[in-house]
Amino acid sequence: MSDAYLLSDELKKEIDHWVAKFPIDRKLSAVIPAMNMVQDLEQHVSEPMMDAIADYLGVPRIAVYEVGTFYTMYDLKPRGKHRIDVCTNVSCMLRGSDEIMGHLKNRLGVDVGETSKDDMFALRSVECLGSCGTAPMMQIGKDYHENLTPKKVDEILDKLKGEA
Amino acid sequence: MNDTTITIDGKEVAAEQGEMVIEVADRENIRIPRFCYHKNLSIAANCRMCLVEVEKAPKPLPACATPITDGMVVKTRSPIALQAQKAVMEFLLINHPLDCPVCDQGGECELQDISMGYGEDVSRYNQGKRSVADQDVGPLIETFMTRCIHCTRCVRFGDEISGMRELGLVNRGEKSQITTYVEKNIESELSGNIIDICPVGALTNKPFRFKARTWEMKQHATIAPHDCVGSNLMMHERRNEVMRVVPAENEAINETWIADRDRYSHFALYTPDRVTQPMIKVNDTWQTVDWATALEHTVAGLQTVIHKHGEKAVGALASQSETVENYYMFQYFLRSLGINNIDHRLQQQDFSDQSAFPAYPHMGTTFEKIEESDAVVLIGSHTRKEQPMLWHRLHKASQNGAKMFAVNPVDFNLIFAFEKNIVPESGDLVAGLTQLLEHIPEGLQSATKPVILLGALAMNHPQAATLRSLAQKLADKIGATLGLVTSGSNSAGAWLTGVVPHRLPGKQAASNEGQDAQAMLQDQKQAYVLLNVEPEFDCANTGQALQAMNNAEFVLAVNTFTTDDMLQYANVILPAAPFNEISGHMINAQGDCQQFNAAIPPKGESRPAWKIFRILAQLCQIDEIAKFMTIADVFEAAQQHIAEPEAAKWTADSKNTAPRGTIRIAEMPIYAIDPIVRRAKPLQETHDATKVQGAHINKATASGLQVNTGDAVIVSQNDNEITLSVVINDCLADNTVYIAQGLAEHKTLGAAYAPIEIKRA
Amino acid sequence: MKLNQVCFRSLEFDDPASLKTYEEKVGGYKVWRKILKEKPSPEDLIEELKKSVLRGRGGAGFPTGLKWSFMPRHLDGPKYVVCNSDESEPGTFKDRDIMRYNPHQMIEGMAIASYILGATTGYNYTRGEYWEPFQACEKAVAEARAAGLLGSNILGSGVDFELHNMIGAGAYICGEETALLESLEGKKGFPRFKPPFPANFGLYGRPTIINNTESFASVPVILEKGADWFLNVGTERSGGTKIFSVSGHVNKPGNYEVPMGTPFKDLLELAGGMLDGRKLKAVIPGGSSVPVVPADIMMETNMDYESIGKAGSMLGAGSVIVMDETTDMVKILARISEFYDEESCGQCTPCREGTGWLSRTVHKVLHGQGTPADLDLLQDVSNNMMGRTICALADAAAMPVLSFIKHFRSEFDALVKK
Ligand SMILES: Cc1cc2nc3c(=O)[nH]c(=O)nc-3n(C[C@H](O)[C@H](O)[C@H](O)COP(=O)(O)O)c2cc1C
Ligand code: SF4
Ligand code: FES
Repeated sequence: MSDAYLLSDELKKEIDHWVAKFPIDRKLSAVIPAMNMVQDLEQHVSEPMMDAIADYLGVPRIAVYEVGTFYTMYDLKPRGKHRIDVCTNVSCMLRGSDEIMGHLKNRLGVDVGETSKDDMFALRSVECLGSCGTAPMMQIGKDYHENLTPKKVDEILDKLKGEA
Repeated sequence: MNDTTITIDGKEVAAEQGEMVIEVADRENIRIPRFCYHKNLSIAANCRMCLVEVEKAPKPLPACATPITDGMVVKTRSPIALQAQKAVMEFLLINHPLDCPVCDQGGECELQDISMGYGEDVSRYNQGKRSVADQDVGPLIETFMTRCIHCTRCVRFGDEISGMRELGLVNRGEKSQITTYVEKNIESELSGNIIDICPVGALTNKPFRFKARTWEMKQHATIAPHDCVGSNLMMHERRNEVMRVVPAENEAINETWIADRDRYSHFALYTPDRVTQPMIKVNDTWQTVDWATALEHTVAGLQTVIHKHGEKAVGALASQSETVENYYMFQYFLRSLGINNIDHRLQQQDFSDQSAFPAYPHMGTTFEKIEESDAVVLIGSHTRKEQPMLWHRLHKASQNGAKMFAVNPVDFNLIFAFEKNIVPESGDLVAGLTQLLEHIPEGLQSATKPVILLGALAMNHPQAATLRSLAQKLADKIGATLGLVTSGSNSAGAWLTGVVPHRLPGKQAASNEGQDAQAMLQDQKQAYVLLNVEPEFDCANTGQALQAMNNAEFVLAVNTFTTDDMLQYANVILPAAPFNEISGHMINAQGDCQQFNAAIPPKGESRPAWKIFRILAQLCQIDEIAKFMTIADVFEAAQQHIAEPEAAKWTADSKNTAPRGTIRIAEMPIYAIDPIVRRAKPLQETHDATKVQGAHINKATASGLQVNTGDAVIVSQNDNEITLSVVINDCLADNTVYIAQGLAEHKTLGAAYAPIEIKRA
Repeated sequence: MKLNQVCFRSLEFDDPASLKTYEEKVGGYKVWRKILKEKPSPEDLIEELKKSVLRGRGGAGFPTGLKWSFMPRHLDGPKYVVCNSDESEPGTFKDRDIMRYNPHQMIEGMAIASYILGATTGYNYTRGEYWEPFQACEKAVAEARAAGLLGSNILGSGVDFELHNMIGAGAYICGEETALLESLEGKKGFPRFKPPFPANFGLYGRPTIINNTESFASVPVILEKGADWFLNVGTERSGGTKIFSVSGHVNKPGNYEVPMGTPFKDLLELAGGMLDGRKLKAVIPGGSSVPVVPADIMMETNMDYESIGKAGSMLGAGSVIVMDETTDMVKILARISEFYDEESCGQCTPCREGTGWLSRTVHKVLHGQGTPADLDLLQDVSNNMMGRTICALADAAAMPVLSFIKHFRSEFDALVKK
């Protein structure tokens, strides 16, 4: 039985748009963009959604699970509204990412890998995000926040809380 | 061929451009350690165990993925090579549990074997080992994933061989895991092969678990008895009990694979309904007796009927999977008594063109050649479930780019994509094939090596003859080879030895033509002789067959098992030893006559069927019987009739008319095909066994009846009604109801492609 | 020293990423238009590239012209041009700026490549986190398409080239070219065994040319100004300019496009010198994968392939990580090792098992729980990983371990002797 009906028509259209970029018999190529779009919409990609994508593209479900578990940007379980990805790799480390991370842990009252009690923020330590020239940095959603200081971090989080 | 020379370990050897170093080494019996490489799978080169030194290469290279070049000098045991191999072994072992004493793979583990030669005594790794959760993947395979070494053979098998991507490698790095990800059964009918290819004890044989250690068992070569592929098997036995079955390699037949049916059917051999003593019914009660008494009783019973009603009052039915020897003595005995109603074509309904048959039905090509064909037409063939290993060759053809076409009563999921797949209404395959013939698709028209195969669902169709003649027309038009794929493992042997009513051994016309399987059941005989037949399961019209048995005066069953009904209708049951307890020959679809020996002695008092018929013949004072002293004598007599395959020419049309109205579609499902598999518990627990239950109809039919999946419906055929649960399945055509054959609940119903009534319960 | 002569030539103008700036100010798409009009022989163009000694900017430094000459141009059927904008090597952030500030030059480079190689479809694969650069490329491709510079029958020339931007989802390994191709095919980023190389068996099994963003972006300038010009900007065996991403303990971290062969000293000065005037301790000159170089050697080294090679390291992607005297080298190595453990795809045994083993052992040492034997073990395990796997990630994990222990042994010894 196909679970493709779980995808909205709009999403299907966007997936089709990606499918069109690849040869017709290579629909699997659209798996990553499709998963990205679901992650954007729902902040995570659930198992039923992976099944839906697989069924919609006509590819084996396990092929989608493999992709979902391989790439680090996918959350397969629900997590907080905003995911804060703090780069802790060497260049950021040299510029004080430890301090930024410490500040975030304090402020949110969570450890790395956890979500704040109000479900607003999930904290992760990530590998180099290619922003070493403006270290330390973090990514929230699609946005890079660079040249961080604890104060700047506070402003960013306050703003996000304010939007909610 | 062999256009190049390379040197391996100082030995100069011939090699072919494009070959990998490991292939050449294997041919020369130079053993390079490996885990991920498997000759029938694509190359992954991920385990890195096969690293060897190649002169002029700056670093060791994987032998499995390094193509040879002329003059290449390879060292597989040089210090550089050994150091590299040893290092890989160390990496493999750091996270591998050292539980060989309790591991089911112990004694036949590739990791254990190879590590003996390399392993350090003391591991330098003193951190915690990885442990991975196990999964329940169904009744056939047990997982112990902590032992997995990530060779990905099992994943590639799914991708490339079974055609079903069921297992995957999820996560990455150290956290990589082989899994189905969601808890689910592995469903491929070839799934058991991953047990063999898994080099460690991560995927093991579930029903065999804890049964025996490898070194306690002896192995015997044998032949699979469930379909006309004739896969080569190794049967592992301990103290005269079959413990497990694995493939024996034969590239021309089953390569290195076997179907699950062949691997797990042996679990039926020791069920409580196995007959191991002769039994006779006296005053309606069964008695276990010695052979002499039983045989006397048999002869008396048969002779009484013949005396009273004549030879024509006896019908004899043999299974489709007997040895040449069993078939030969079966018909020899019967014909000596003047009995000509002899047949093995239990499920066929159309015999109009039987005299046009060649010496025996043949596939028209070979398994290996099928892979090279560029177009395949399947007519009435659920190949994937009928002959899984033949399906595998078709799958390969399709992967190689062959265009696939089908005319089938159901839109079966055959995995490969069809260019055209005709699923006619009411199971009218003649209409479907006519349509294909009248509008031959371009891809078929232009094919240079097309193959047409008629499967069980065509062979058992009431218009089978017409289907053959239409297929012939198509073959002539496109220059295709045309072949028949028969049910059972040795229909070829049955034809050649005269287990058909109209022919004696070796294609000689019988002077007294007997009745075919259908006629002798329809015509109600006074006596029946059964050879491993359970008519209420095995015949085309099971309801009619059961009634015929129940009404007969005398029924002799030379069988391995009893059934409840048999205990009612039979008068004598003589224990016939099953395939693993006898020796003999079977002829497969490509005409290989394969010999095999008994793996273990017959259980209890059971005997090979050919011996039972010989002694019966003796007791009936048939003079010439003395010449059949040994099995070799029997085979010698039969062998002279074993001919090369002949090309057939099908022109006759069927006398039956096309099915009209609401029609029952029925097949013998993969795990109901013969008495042995029907009793194999692990197979009966699979989805393949359970999903064929119930009455399957498509959405349109369902909404016409106002029923949904799970609702009860009453179906009737032969004036018998049964209640079944509905399964909505859009693979079915309009005006068709799929109700499988071979299932106990369905036995009172009638034939396939016959009208059926269905209504809401 | 003249800055920003090649890939960053649009930077000095307003709105550097726009088609308008690129065409009108920079003089972009001149080469592409000329090719479409004059249809020069692809062989000649390849010769020109060979002469320029453009070496791949993605890390391996393979001569681009030579690579393109291997592609079976005349083979029928689809062929592909793929741009590797995965940029995930720690310390590297140059492709991001090319995409954000001069995407048209990358597009022009890819278009030229498609002509030379007879490909009609191209993909620019951006790492998943690079949303902004991806959007910049999407905008640029849309502009170029609208201007008729991409698509079918471009400017009536009969030449077709369709270019798509593709985005990943977070995996360093997808920067490895064959892993990238797998990812483009919608799979996990598992590197493929080579040979066959992508030139023969690439995307969807078809002939494919895959190059780094900076490599493609260099091509239009080479063909415009000539191979000799390019070669002369750099050194004899390292042609042209190179963008160095300078990060760490400097006052002005950032991207600096300078001629190949620029002395490290000068680059350091461009980057504002050492942070807070502290002393230089060591430099990782080419991204986290390459061996670390102690200060004294680095201060004498020029920034080109040969010189850095002589200094015992590699130019890699030109990612210069500068560390001052306060830096705890064991901690840095621990972080680097953790990175490779995290990013190993898990396919090959030595890498799957070795990266974790290394990382845990370095951490053990860092936390004062190591023994002298652990240092030997680290080196042994590293050696057993090097050159034993399908791709170079295992080497990348091993080289830092070997070089950190080699050059800063005393810091390790101090921790294990405690
Ligand atoms: C582990 C690993 C990661 C890599 N990451 C990148 C990368 O992020 N970007 C890149 O251009 N090349 C990367 N490469 C190099 C590519 O495999 C390839 O050599 C390059 O894309 C070729 O382009 P070039 O010749 O223009 O440099 C990586 C290689 C390895 C082994
Ligand atoms: S389960 Fe077995 S066959 Fe599959 S990857 Fe692991 S070791 Fe290999
Ligand atoms: S057998 Fe060659 S790498 Fe696994």
